Amino acid sequence: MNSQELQTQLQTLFGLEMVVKRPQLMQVSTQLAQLELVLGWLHHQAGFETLSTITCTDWLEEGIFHINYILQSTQHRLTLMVGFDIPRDGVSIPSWSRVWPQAETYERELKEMYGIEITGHPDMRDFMLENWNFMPPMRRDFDTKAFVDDFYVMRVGREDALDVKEVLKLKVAAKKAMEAPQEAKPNE
Amino acid sequence: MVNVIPVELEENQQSLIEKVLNWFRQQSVFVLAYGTGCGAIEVPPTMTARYDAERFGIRGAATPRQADVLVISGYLSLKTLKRVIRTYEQMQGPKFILGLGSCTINGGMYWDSYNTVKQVDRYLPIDVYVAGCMPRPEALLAAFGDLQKKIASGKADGWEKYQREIEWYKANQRKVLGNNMNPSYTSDWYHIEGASLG
Repeated sequence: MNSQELQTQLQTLFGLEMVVKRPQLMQVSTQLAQLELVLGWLHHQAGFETLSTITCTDWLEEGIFHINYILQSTQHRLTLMVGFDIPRDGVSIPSWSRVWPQAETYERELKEMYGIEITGHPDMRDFMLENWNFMPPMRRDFDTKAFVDDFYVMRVGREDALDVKEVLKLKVAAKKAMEAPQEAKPNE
Repeated sequence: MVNVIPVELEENQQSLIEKVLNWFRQQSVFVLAYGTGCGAIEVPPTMTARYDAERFGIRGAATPRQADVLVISGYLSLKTLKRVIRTYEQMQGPKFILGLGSCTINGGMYWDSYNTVKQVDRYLPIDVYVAGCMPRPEALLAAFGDLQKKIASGKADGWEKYQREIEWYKANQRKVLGNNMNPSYTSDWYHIEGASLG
């Protein structure tokens, strides 16, 4: 099927509006309640056999996480991004590792970096950070600089470090001062 | 060209046998094949035909028990730090550490990352630093030359310092690693009375 047929099918079956972003890249927005039906149909019937990745965007001001499942179909040469919003705390999403085995890794990342709970995950262990007892670090309200100042010790000696642009300005000014004509000495 | 800061060599009080041993040691430096970070990309060019490090006696060693030098190539995340400490403690003295790249000096490009240590010096004793991101093979060879001079003069005593000041190093490690410290049997023998040098 091409993107036109996919658009009509998504409209008739689920009432979803698909946006075509580029010739082979499309985007559709759904709800968590409808997710199982939509992804299931896409995988089993529509030929989207590959899950590329699961991404998450933290909309701190609106208080939501926007999660995207990026699916690809080799038979139809299409990429489809299925997005939905969940509140930042308290809601868990189902695991898709039984349908796409690679989802297991992406979901571990979501849990560790954003704190999103996953239900039905076969092996929820640490993704990258060991012994991490602080806020999930990819959340936008995690203050990285404050954490680093508190947890680590910086090497002394660079407190007077200037920004590169400042250093260049100083260099240019010094050069100009060197090349400026000498002032006449006042007579005594 | 590379600016090599000359190493000042004062005459150290080495006995003749120590001088001879150090002269031999400097010419046969086995580097542990362990690329801890992105600096490891500059090690293969140093070892291969164009910048051939083997003519200086530098070659790879497979296990920590057989190695003299541990090259910390780049940033050290907390996960890697735990393993590097255990690797260093498994090496047999005399052993040296070469800090490759700016990240070992002051955090480098990852100075504000929540997962990398900023001064490796607080957790392990480093003998020679090489600045750069990443340093070119010429710089790395110059650093090995510095290390060799340091070994020959008898001043590359990072491993002895680690043994003397083990409490300070362990306290620093415990502060960043917390519950994730290596099991105590990996470094128990440092604390046994009589085995410590200090």
